[in-house]
Amino acid sequence: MSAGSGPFDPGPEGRATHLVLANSLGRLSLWPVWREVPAGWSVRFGPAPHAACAAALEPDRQQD
Amino acid sequence: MTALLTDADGAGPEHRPDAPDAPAVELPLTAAQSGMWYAQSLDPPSPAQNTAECLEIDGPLDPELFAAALRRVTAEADALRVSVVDSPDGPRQRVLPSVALPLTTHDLRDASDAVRRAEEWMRADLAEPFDLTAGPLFRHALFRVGEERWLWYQRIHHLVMDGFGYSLLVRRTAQVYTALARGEAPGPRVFGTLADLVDEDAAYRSSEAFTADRTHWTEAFADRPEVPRLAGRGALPSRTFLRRTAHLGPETTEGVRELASRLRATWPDVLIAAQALYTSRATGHREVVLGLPMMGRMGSVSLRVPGMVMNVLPLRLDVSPDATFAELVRQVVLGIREVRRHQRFRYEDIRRDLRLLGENRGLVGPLVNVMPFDYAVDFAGAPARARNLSAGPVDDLTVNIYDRADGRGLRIDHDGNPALYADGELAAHQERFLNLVERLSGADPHVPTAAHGIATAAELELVLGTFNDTERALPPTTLIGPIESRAARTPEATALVYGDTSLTYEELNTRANRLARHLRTLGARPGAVVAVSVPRSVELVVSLLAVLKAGAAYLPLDPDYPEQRLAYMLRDAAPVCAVTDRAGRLPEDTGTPLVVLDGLDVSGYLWVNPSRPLTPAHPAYVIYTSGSTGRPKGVVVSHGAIDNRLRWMQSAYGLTSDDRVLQKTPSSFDVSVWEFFWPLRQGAVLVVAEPGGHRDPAYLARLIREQGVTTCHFVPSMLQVFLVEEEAKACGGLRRVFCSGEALPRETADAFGRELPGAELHNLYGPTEAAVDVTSHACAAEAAGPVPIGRPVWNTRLYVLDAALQPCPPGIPGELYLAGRQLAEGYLNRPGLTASRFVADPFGRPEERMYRTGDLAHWTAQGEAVYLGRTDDQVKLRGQRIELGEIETALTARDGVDAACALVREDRPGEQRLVGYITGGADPVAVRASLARELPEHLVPAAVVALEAFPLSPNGKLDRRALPAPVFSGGAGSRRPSNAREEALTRLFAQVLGADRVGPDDTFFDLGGTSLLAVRLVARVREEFGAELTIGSLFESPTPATLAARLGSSGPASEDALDVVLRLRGGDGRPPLFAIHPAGGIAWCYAGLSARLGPEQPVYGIQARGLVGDEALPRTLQEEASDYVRHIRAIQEHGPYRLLGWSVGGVLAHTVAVLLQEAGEQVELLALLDAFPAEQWRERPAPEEGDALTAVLRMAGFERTHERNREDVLGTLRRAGSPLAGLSDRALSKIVDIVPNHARMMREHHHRDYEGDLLFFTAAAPRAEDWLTREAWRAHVTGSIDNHDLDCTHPQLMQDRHLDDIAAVLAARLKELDA
Repeated sequence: MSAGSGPFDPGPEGRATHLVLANSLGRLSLWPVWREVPAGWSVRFGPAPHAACAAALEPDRQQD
Repeated sequence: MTALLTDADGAGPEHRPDAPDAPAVELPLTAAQSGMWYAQSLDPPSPAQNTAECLEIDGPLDPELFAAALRRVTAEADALRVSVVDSPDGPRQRVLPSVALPLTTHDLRDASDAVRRAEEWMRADLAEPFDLTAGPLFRHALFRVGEERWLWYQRIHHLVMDGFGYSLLVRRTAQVYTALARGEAPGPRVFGTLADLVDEDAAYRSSEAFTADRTHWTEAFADRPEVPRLAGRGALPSRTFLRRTAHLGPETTEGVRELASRLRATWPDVLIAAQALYTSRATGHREVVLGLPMMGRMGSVSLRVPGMVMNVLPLRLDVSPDATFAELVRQVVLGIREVRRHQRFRYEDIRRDLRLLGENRGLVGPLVNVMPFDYAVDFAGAPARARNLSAGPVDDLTVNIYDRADGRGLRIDHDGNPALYADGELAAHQERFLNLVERLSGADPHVPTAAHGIATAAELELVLGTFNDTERALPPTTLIGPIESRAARTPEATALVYGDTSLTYEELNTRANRLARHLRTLGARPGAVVAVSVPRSVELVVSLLAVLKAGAAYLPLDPDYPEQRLAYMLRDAAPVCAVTDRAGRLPEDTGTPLVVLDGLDVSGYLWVNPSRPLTPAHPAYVIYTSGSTGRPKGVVVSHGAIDNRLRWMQSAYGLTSDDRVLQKTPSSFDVSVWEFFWPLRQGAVLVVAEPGGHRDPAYLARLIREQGVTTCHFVPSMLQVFLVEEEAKACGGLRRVFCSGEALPRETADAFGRELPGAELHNLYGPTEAAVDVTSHACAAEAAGPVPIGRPVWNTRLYVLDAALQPCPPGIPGELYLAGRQLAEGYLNRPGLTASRFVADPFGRPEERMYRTGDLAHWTAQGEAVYLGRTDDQVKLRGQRIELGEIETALTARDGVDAACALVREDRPGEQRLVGYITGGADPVAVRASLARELPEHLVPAAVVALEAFPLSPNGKLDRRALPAPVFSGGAGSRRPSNAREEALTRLFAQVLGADRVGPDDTFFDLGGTSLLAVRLVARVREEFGAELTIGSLFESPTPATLAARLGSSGPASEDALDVVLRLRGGDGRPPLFAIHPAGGIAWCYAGLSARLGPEQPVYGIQARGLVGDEALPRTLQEEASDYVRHIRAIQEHGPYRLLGWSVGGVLAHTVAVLLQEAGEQVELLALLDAFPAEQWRERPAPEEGDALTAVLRMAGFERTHERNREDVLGTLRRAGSPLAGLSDRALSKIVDIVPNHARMMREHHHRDYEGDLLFFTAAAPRAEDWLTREAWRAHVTGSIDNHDLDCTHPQLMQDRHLDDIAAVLAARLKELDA
């Protein structure tokens, strides 16, 4: 598995590659747009670029 | 074998219609042939280059006519009449005008197993190598296996024939035979000559097309991509290959053809795309490079010549899970179109141009060999079907796909190099490939390929279900509850041992309860966080329990971490309070209320368990780990998660009250969680190691033996070091040892089995994010190969997923994801990071999450996971998790650093070191030093290297492989070793560090020293010097000079070490301690004391004048002391002063102290070591030279016995290896003068009064001079005498054992003065 190309890594600049999913417990999950959404989760944000999803996850704009 | 029908021999000229009686023609080899010649010459007896085919002919056949047809074709095809000779100009092929026809014919009509016997024969023949120089390089056999059924076998060396060549030969043979059978003329020769082929090759190689092709390929592969292979590695081709044959069912074949036409492609394009998808997923590489065997025949000439022309060319494809299969097929179509245009440029030449040859790197992964040659031939009406038996050497894996026009659909042969693939693996690859093709052919090609995995349905059931069958119903308990129940059941049992202290369960519980109640008053409750920064001790255990009892989660803060790091964690986690052992431990400006245990009285609190509304969902602890963007992140683990982990551990290993568990892991690492709490839940004894003890294998071995430890943990690299420790063998009481934190090498597991045969070794695995460990594997004695991380623990599932988040079958590497009860809640205050690491689980129950570890793993067929490495930049160094990004961020933040990169290097096997690289003007030494002030020790690079610029690969990325190894070389501009001991130590340092040169003042850790190398160095020092030395002493005395000083009662032996001022330990933190020499005038004896006072306390020895040079000896002690006062004030201009002296040195120290006070300075410490005032000696006779020799011996720690003169004394010193023996004769003679001079001066001296207290150490063993009494000092001291008796003689006072005691008292006093 080569670095930087994983399902949760940023895709090409500007491409809407990811979603933010949520479950009923309030847990959130980043998710690649090309993979079927797992049972029990629904799309809360996106499809959007990775950075936009990351920003949507952190209201205070702190990112790691 | 039955009767031979014909034994065809040489074809007569009458059979060769156009055979000229020409001499042999000599031709050079084509580029295509040269590589094969070279490969064959490397291994002449290898049959790997055999190619072979078998044609089944159904119908009547005349063997005589068949032989005649073969003779004719042989005469027409130059390539078959070739042998290859080596000449001074290189290998040349000699085309003979005629060769004997090597044909055997076998009549097997009567045999019941005719076909099998024929195939056996073929197999045996295929294993025979050709002799290139002798020729002929082909062979035929004709088997009659039925009345009207024949097998025609032909084997040809690949150097002279390729697959297309076969088709030319077969068609011509059929044509000639048919003509002969009908009594017709076969028609003229249709083949071109071999010379034509060679000419065409030469013409191409000097053409513009060749140059253009070369440019195309070097540009297309300028970045020299890594080539993914299904076996994960490469190997030389073997002499044989494995083959699995299968057919795509007619329905699937039809589906593939339909899909191809819908996508405006051919069926080979679809199968190549499928193989690319399979390879990408099976290797975890988004980009794959397949090898495509190409006909290579572009001109009309070569299309008519049977010979070796074919070429293998790389097809580079980007296989992304978000792209559709239709897009992938389109990529293949366009890619092949391009490859075809440049197909004459040789594979070997591309490799050479890309400089892959020298590195023995491949250009392509699996080959897909599509052979759509037309084999619709018949022999005078008897139809024939061809079957390939060998397509030549197999480097890696070749998928041969045949579409013989025989109506049977696509045949697929998987050929594998047996050096890389076992039979079963090859079969699995084939089965999955066929399965994938089947699914693709029936699926919508316009959805992302992520919808398709490579595992078969049976494999999916195995890896998702069977291997993860871990469900287990458990009571809803917490981490702390079971400990409290245990304390109630066995209150009198021993719970904890630390040094001489031992606590029962009741005592421990009571202390923790009282502290817990205190913490509650500060806001500790379920859901809150309480920081704990206490060195390993009883108090640490009490504090952790107290936090949990209060219901809060504990946040361990390593007291050794730099202040900045601690402050960050306090601000980030915002604990309600922080427990520390003493004031000053934690930064006070973070707003966190501190609970200082030192002096805290909690006796007023109730001793019973506090009640609290705690549930398994509440957090139990928060542990920080390295963060990739520079900020460490706090992992929040719930009670339910860790409770599951400990319940599993108890069921797996059954701890009892007989067990004693070692606690040595720092509390900031999560391994410590089970060390602390598992034994306390089970009624076992917790044996707590001293702070720092976890680094010292000798100490650990001793502790394990003395304390009867049965259970402990080692990081594998530390286990390795421990096992070579002499005392490890004596740790027979160990029942089980757990490893985790990094990959456990098989060699270490084997060594464990040898050294500790009575103990079990368990390999555990897990990130902090999943409650310590999630898998386990019990190491077995006879096992081989990598040690698996094992099977999942209770209520835990492992998923090995490919780039499309689809499960990988056993044996296929993928990223490891974890799911189940042990997952952490997430990262404290980091919702974004949490949501990108803890993601939706597509395989579990609805709404579940899985944690993405970033670790690579694969399943074994038995359901164990094997760790393979990382997907990202995170590294493990000696079990500690390091995000290289965090170090890079820290490096880049320094002034003068433009860019930075960090990596772990292993320049010498087994020695991993963290190295940082920087560009910009910053001084790398200063950068490293400033990092050390900010980052925990394990995150500080062993070296920082400054570069002009970072090396880049052709595509402009940082080329990590080209980064230079750091040169760990000290000694630049430093002094030379000043004695034999320093010399020896600089040598040992250099050896252990692998450094060119080490100076006596170079610091071990600045030269790339790691804690593991430290262990090795200490072992070497013990060996060479026979000295007892601990790891701790190296941390305190990290240079050869300081270590030399520490090693004995003395250190340097060169002249400069005999100066008046001898710096034993420098530094400017605290006021220095001045230690004045005893009678011999040398102060080296204080080195051991200096080392024991720690790195913070500067110590200067004061030595007598006259040891060097021809200075006159002082006449009075007063004069001598005044001289010393000048030297002391040159170092420390004003008081308060700290003075110490042993023997005569004590008398001098008192005198110096008085002089300083008289000069208006303050003296805050006067410590006398078995020194007695002048008047006690006055009436006693002064020593002569004989007594001086006694004094010299005493300086070295010996009592005088047989020594009569200077020579004898020197002999004794040399035999004992005393550093004093290294003194020059002149210096030694001086000592013999200095000793009586001091005796004289002392007797003449009159003490004045010292204003203050005296710290006194008495050598309390009975002595000859029984009239000596410290009470005599009362006349010269205004304050009190604080005496400490030591059970030793006067000379023994400076020996290690007693120095420990003296240093302890001194250190305590110095600490009071500092405060």
